[in-house]
Order: sequence, then structure tokens, then C-alpha cells
Amino acid sequence: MLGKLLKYEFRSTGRVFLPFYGALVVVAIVTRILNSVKPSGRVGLIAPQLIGIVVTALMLGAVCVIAIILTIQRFNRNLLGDEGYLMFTLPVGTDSLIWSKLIVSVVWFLLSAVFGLFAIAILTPNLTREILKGIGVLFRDLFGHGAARDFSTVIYLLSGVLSVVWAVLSVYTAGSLAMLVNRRRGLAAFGFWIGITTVAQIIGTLLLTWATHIDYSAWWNELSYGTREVLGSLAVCATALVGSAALYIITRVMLKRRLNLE
Amino acid sequence: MAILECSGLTKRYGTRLALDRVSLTIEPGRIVGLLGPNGSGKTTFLKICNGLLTPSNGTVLIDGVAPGAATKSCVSFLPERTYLNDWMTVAQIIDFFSDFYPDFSREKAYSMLGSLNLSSRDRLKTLSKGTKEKVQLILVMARQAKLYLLDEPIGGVDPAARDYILNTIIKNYNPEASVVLSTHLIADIETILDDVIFLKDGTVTHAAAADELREKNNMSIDGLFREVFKC
Amino acid sequence: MEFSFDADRPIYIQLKERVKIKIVSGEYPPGSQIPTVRELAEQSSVNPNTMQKALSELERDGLLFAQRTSGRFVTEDAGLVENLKKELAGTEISRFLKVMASIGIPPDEAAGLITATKEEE
Repeated sequence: MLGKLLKYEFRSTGRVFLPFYGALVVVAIVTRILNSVKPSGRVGLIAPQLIGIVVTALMLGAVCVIAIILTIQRFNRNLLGDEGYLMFTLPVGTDSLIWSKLIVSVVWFLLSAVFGLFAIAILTPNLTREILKGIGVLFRDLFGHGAARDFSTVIYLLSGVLSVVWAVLSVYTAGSLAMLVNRRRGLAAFGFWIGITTVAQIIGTLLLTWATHIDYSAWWNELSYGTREVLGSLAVCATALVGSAALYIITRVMLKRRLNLE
Repeated sequence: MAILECSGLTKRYGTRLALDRVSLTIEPGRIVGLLGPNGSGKTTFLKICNGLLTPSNGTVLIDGVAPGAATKSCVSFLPERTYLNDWMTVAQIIDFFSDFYPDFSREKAYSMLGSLNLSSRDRLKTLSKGTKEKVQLILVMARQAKLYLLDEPIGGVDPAARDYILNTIIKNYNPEASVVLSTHLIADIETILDDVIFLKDGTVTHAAAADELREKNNMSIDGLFREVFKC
Repeated sequence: MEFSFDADRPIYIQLKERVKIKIVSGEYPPGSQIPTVRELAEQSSVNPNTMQKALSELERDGLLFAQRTSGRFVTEDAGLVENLKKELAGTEISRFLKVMASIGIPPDEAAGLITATKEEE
């Protein structure tokens, strides 16, 4: 059943994203072609290149905004709005419903980043080549210094993905908590979201303070560099994981026990 | 086993009591009318049977099981509002239902589309409210469910479609399944009801066979309703 | 589609009456098989359970009998059907006479009016 939900979720959101990605790539390519036309000093020829760059930049921004808007919309409209009467009477578990939206949202965020970078690469081939070389150096720096370093780098990357997961879940949790009020749910959802991110920031700061404290402690500095690396990365990952799990649990409880469609 | 069995079902919204210790049993093969004025708790009751709402107290069992993913595969629910999404066509939503519900019959769905003169290629977004309701009804009745819960199925529909809906319910009759129709338009539907449940302010005031009530009170169910719910 | 039932009276009783009329008029001749419950229910746009109750009672009254796998049949007892015909006619006549009486026409005069009206047609 989760597979089916994923299929429909991708279909429903893909209709928006895929044309946009296509347009983004096309604009980038066109701009790139325009850029390769040597300017003959006449001001007129600079304009299309400039426009091309601006449009590409705008579209990059738009893709981010669309990803955010769709995340919010798919959850609040499809699950908690009128369509919820359809979704919640399907013979699927609440978990499947949440996971289908979560997975699809995260995938689109990651894909948008990829396409964004791709568009930038098309626009600025020289710069990109330099950056890639630099990334290669960075990679060699990050990896290949032993198993501990490789492991912790992977864990950090995972934490990066988890932070996207957390962000998406924060929207879901805020939206589901908003079911507690009967009117102006949109405003309530926003309020809850501010609340959640604020609490997260506070907890984050506390953890950082605690981490800095640890960094100075004796027992910590007795551990090998590799061990400290691994533990550090695991701590970051664990925080992201625990935070996401907490949000997931709240969302699930709200949807399962306190479902209150308007 | 009873198709629906609830005991002491209560639902509170803050201080308001939407359902007050409702207990009833519905056997298979019955067409039941859940009758009451607006706000009497009919929709709340149906939503609880569907798992769309959790009761404050009491239990409800569908075919012996509490509402969940398992019961949803044998309960077909028609809500009062339109729940169709925007971007699909009629054909696509039929595919969707067919995908998720093993008991969904495409032949029945397409045959009903034909009888009601609806095109499968129309986009749901472009349909009028009445047409959307007809599509939803088709999606619900094309399933071979054990329990059909229809919330105000004839409310916003024209009289011809109304007749069609009632005839579809009769035609679909299956001794192993039951239909619960909630409505306040009693005169139009009372001849097809086996049993009648009156819901007043969240409490069951009458629960009996329709003909029994007619014989006992010497009047139609509609007449009895007007008496019981006199303003 | 017949939705013309009097909702003030039990539906199954009205269904019985309709079937009785069909038997008595010869539409369902003695010994013939009548349509299934489902078919009859659909024809009259009523609940199959209500139709079933009506038919069961007619069975109990002896006007119908069920053959295990084949369905329901009208009784072959022509005498029974004849009696039913007289009974139905009697009920209708009493009702007619009561209406006549209420407009001030005694039974004999009513009978005369019947013959006169019949000759006109």
C-alpha cells in the first residue's frame, strides 16, 4: 500500500516539478548559448545574457519555494482538507500516509538541489570546473584518512539528509497540531511551526553548549582523534534522528487519535 | 456476526456532547435509515465508524473489528462533502479506487457512468458540484463492501438522480452487506428502508423496523419524524 | 419506477395487495412461477427484505408456494384464487358503497347508476 501511495504522491507532485526542472534546464542552456555569443561592444547584446542569468536565478529560487509550498500543501490539503475524507478512508495505515508524503517531499528537495546545481553548472562551466576540482580536493581531504574519517563523513552526510527530514516533519507536526483548534487552522499551524522551530533552536543551543563543555573535558581529550570524530558525527546524527522521531510520533498520534477533519 | 455493533458510543467536542451513549446493532442484509435533524450527530456517528474520528467513550466494532485499515477495506463511505482532488480525470480516479480497493468493480463504475451520462475523460476540477456528487456515489457503490455508509446521499441531487441513487441501492442489495443512509429528507427514501434509527441530540430515540413503526404509530416514518422532532 | 406507496401504511402489506391483484387478475396465472424477490423488488423500487416479507406472508396464506430451488409459484388451487377475487371485490364494493352513502346515494340507487354508466361506455 505504501508503494501505491508513493506512486500517486509522485504523480501528483511530479506534474509541478518536472515541467519546472525542464524549464530550468532549458533556460540555463539558452542563457549559456547566449553567453557564448561574443559581445561586439553594443549594449544590446548584453541584455539577453543578463536576462538569462536573472531568469535562471529566479527559477532556482522559485524551485525552492515550490518545494516548500508543495510540502505544506500536500500535507494540509490532501490529508487535512476535504481530500482527507478520501485519504483517511483508504485501507492504509496512518504510518503509510505520513511516510508516503515524507519520502516524496525529501526526494524532491534533494532532486531540486541536484537540478539547481546542474543549472548552475550549465551556466558557469569554467567556474563549475574549478569548483568540482576543489570538491575533489575536499573529498580527498574528507575521505581517505582512515576508516574513522570516512565513517564520520558519511554520518555527517546522513545528518544533512535528516535535517531535511526534520524540516519537512516540522511542517507536518505543525499542521496536525493545528487540528486542536477549530477555526483559523492555517494561522494556528503557522504558530505551531514557529513554536516547534523555536523549541528546536533552544534545544540545539543547549546541546551545543553541552558539546563545547565536553570538548574541554579531560576524558574527551583522552580519546583518539578518530574515536572523537566518530562519536561527534554520531552525536549530530543522533540528535537529528531523535528530533525527527519526536516530530513523527507527535504527528502520528495526532493523525491517529485526534483526527478532526473539518 | 453483526456488521456494526456499537456500545455506549460517546463523542464530546469540548463541552458539547455530539453523541451520548449510543448503542445499536446492525445485522447484515439491512438497509437502515439514520434519521435526525442537522446537528443531531449523524455525521459524527458515521465518521467514527470510519475511523475518521475517535470516540471519547464507548466502542464500535465493524464485523467484530475496531475501525482501522482492515475495516476500511470493507466499508464504503460517502461523505457529505466532495473529496475529489483537482488534477485527476474521472477515469483516473476510477483507476485510483481500483488500485486501492480489491472489491472495486470497474465494470460497475463504467456502467453507472454511462447510465448517468458522464464522461470518463472529464477533469474532476471542471465538474459541477452535482456531477461531482454523482461521481462520488458511483465510486462508493461500485465497491462490493460489507457496509455502505452514505451521509446525506440525496441532499444536493436532482430528483431523477435521486431515483437513480435509490434504485442503485436496491439493485446492489446483498444479504451479506448493509447500507446505512443518513438523511433528513425522509419522505423521499422511506419506502426503501428496512430499519429506522432516530437520532436526537446525540441520543437514539427510536430503533426499529420501518413497517413496525408504521403499524404501531399508524403513520409514515416522515410523519413520525415530524412528531418526534417538532420544533 | 413505482414510488407510489402510501407511506402511512406498512409497505409489505401494500406489496401483498399488489401481488394479490396480479394473481386474481390472471397476470400471474395459477401454478405459474412468479419473478424472484430481487426482480420484484427492483420493479417496485422497494427493499428486497420488504418484498421477501410480503411474499413469505402470501406463502403462509397459501397463495404462493416455494419450490426449493426453482423459486416461487402461484397456488394451483383455483378455488382459493376465486375466493380471494371475491374477497377483494367485496372490500372494494364496501368501500364504494360507503362513499356513495356519504354523498347520499343508497346501495340500490348506486347499483342502478353502475348499470347506466356501464351502458354509456
